[in-house]
Amino acid sequence: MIPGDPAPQQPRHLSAAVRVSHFVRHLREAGFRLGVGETLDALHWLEQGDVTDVNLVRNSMAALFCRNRDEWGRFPMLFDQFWLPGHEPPLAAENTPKADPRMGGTVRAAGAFAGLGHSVDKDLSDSEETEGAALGGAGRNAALTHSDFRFLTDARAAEQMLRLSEQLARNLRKRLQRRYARSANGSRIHFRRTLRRSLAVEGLALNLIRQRPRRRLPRLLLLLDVSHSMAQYSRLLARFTRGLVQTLPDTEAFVFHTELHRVTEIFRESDLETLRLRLEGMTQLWFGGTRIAESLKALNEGYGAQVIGGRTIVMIMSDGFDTDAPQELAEELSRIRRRSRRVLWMNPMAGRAGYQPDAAGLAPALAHVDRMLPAHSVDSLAALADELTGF
Amino acid sequence: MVHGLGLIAELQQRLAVTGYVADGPVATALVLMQKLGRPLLLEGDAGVGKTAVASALAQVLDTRLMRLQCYEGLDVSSAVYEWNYPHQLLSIRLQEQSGRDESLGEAEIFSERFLLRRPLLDAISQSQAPVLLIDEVDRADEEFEAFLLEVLSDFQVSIPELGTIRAVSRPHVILTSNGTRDLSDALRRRCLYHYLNYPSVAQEIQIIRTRIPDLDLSLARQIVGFVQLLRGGDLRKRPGVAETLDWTAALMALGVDSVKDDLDTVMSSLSCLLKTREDLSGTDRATVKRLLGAVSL
Repeated sequence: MIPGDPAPQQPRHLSAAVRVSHFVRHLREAGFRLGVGETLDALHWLEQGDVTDVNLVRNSMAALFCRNRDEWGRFPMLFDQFWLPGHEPPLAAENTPKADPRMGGTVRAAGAFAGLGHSVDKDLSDSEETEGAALGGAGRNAALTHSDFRFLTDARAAEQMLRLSEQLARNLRKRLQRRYARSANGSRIHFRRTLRRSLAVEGLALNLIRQRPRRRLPRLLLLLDVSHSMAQYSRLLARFTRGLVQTLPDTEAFVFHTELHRVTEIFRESDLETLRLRLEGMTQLWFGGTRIAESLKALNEGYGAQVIGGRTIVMIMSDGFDTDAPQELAEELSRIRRRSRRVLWMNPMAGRAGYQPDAAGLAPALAHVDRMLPAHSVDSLAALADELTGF
Repeated sequence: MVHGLGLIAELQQRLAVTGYVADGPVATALVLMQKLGRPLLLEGDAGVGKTAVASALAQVLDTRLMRLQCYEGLDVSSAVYEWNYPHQLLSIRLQEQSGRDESLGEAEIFSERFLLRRPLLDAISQSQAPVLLIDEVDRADEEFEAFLLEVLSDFQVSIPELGTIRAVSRPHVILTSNGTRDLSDALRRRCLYHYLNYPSVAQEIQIIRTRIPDLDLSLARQIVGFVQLLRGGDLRKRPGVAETLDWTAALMALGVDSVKDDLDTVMSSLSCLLKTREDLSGTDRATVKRLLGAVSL
């Protein structure tokens, strides 16, 4: 952009517009969701910026085109691929999010938890908007929320359901707190008390008494089966568990397979990607079948009263395929049930037509479970709320 | 016409004067944000200086910093506006008792006089555009996020009784997020994005030397070297830049001029850097000794 030299500016400017929109398409192919607005903003800015400086252009396009940490990390590579073919590697290392050093390197493993975070491999070719993806499962989500999660092969639909399941857990908290208690700066007016207080000043309600939700939440103990047979559902259930652990303060979470591990702290981790890596790091060390009875025994003996009390609702998320003897499982379950308030068994298999628990050798155990609930779709998780309220 | 590069260099310089060391990408994002009038969404671990960006920008622009701290259950009445209800009632009563005919009309009861302005409304009614910091937006509920979207795109607030209040000036909006939950795509689309990482060794040395000018360079190198190694370890809460500054101040107060051979002092002041019990008990003398040994210099 040389002042006083307007003639060559026009074609150059035009070609810049074309180049930038090609770049936007390049990014869209890589899973970025960009509209025309972003392209226009970029052009508008480049018109007044110094386009000869690569770093300036790269930095400003990063700010304009990235939406989350995952895109931020991939952007420098994509930028260099397009604008500087042949010079890919020299990334500005300082502004790419580092792989978590705790896990030693970035892994994009296709393990059981792959896609737990927002880094689903995005083969999202259509650029249809999903802004304001509804929470309640309304509209076109309805079909998805009751479909079996194992059949959701579309990456975006699956991601949306994962989000919903977590949101569900978070909303549960609000539902559980519908009772109100007086509080100095609560958000609702406590009418009865306000009226009573107003009597002293001729019925003039000068002093508003307020109330806010009462804090009396259930204690949850979540036992998540992460064995092979559960692989299709562990993403869904893990996100749900994460939502519960992060919103209900007294929740404890364990995963089991052939042994039991306490993972409450891991689920408190705020970054999904780190959470996924830590979970995978923990679970990929195990082999073999599922030993539910053995795991529950470890829970009873190792943690016992520490995590199970009279207010605890125990939720076991498993398909019930156990290599231990059914009788052992029944015994451990009865020990848990005696100590806790309620034992719920959430079984993805129970959502399938014609499923009979007896066949799976679960029958003796079920005598010690309050409810067996399906857990194969978002709707079935939503139904769980009814089981938890009122305690 | 001032070129983008010049603007960015100038901003970097002016930020440095306020004590904030900004690298190229941060400065670019800040310039873009002002040029395009879009909010800036900052993400990154706790303690990388997200909030500091906003206060430094406010100083550079010589304007007010208004802060809205988000939390679960944040609602319109504590973020935007609320009617001063007791004041309204009292005024009506006083009016009645004074016996004058002209009673307070409805228009007057719901006038600006009785309006309590909360940060969002306050920010859009300043004559000089302030820096509006919406901190930890991921903690607020989804409903509030949707509402925020409306305010951030139109810069106007509708109050049913009073009508629409338009922005006198467009505030410079900075949102920060720790990733407690996923923000909606709609909000992300409205914003420019920047991911803040922990500073590099050179940057961090520059930062602490800017903040604590009489700090010896070799001590600064040792401190930063140690903290950076510590950050690489398996910790629940990794120390941020603020912790480095705290620790440096503590060491200065103790009159230490080299941490290399002073294992006792390091151990006793470690609580400046590690803020959870697990991290403190997990970092024993042997580990600290190993890390100190690994610090180059």
